Amino acid sequence: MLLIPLGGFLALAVWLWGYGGADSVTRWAAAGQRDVQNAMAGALRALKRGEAGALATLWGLCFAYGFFHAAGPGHGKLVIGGYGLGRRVPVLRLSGLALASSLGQAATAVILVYSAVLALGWTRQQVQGLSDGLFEALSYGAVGLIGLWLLWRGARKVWRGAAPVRGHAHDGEDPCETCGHAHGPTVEQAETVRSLPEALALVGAVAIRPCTGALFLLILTWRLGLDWAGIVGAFVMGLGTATVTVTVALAAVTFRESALMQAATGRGSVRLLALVELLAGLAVVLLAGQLLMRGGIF
Amino acid sequence: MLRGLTAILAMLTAPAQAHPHLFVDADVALVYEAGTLRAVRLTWTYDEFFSLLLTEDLGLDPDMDGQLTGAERATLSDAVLDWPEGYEGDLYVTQGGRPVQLGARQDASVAFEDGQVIERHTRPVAAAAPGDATVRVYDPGYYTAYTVVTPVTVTGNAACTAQVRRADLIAATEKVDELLYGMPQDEAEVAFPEVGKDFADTIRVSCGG
Repeated sequence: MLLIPLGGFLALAVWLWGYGGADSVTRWAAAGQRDVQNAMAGALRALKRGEAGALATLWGLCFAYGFFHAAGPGHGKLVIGGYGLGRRVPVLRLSGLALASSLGQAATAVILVYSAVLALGWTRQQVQGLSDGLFEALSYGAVGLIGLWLLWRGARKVWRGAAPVRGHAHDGEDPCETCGHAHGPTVEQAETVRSLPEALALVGAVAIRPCTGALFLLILTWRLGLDWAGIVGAFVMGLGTATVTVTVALAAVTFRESALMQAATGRGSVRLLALVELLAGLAVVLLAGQLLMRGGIF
Repeated sequence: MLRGLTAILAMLTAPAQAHPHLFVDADVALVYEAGTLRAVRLTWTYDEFFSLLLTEDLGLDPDMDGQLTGAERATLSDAVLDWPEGYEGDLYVTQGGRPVQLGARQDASVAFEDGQVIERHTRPVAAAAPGDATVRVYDPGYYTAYTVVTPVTVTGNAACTAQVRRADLIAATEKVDELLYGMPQDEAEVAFPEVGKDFADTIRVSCGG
């Protein structure tokens, strides 16, 4: 069952990456976001008047808004893509992370707006100001840390010229599974242990910076007394965003696997992959550093 | 433009956050006198979503019928016309590639029609040389995406005509992507502030000869 949507995404990823599809999306997204934004105002008015079907229309538009918005430039996409290029992450796991980070972004928007609005009685300007100042700085800091971490991992491997972390020498032929002492972690265990904090860091870095569009929607629906329509709408927006981030994740993994894995299959591949990891980390660190400096944090 | 909004704009310095959140139709009228550009009249029509956010935030038009009372119009007008210090007005005129100094806005007014906020004003052009000029309306940080409404009118000189060249969105987006995906830092420092301009429509006025 999973293979059908996966195949569709993969085809989309290949189209976006290799056949100029991204250009069409760019043109389409620019006009689309504007049209959707106007239509959302109409849907909100219709909902306020109690018109039938207005809620479904609004949520449909939210999905489209998320898609079009994410199709433009955004650092959520960048983190996912850079991570997918730099680390050997299974497709499904990276897609799951992409989805989680998009929904996490929606959750942050809801929490931000309602904690400020309900608990503190803030006005719209103050809520947005908080988001764009503090949260942005936190998010770029987090992105920078991920970059540094990738950099460190890559550098360590390059300098050692070593094989990736391996399990114990007698993997798969262990004569005794309950000998009472811990062997080195298996590849699977190592992956799991390492990837949990990784996953949290990745999702957190994206989720901590909520989308302004979701904030707009939540503030509007709060003012209009349509709170739940807005809260659900914010998560639907996140799903729309996720269609793009998942596509980027698939494209990144596809690209990495086809280009790099074929380039070198022997000992060289380890070094090559480490180098890619290093470069990805470097790019992310540079980016985050610039963002922080422009934000006047440094 | 709004104080709160522009304050946010000032903080939105990252290309990652540069995609627009506010869409504005810009109607541009160019006033020539004796062969020289003397004024630019702007009519900005805000998108419906942002207009709704604005009026709701100010507590206006509670029945949402798109009609404001006199007092409500005054409240809206004050909010929209309260330009913050340092806000340049998003209008850029050049001649031969060099920027032309613009005067402070005049005749500013705000209207509310069909659920959309409309801001109008005139910028005098004191120091233009006679003849051709290039006019752009853009937000350098690209928080606001302006679209120039065609046709652009030119009055006061029958020899001058205006042509609008649409922004090359693909090239502009590619530029943002290049900035995002980590290129030499010094290059990015130079290129970054011009992202909004890359997404701008260009009005070229040619006066023959």
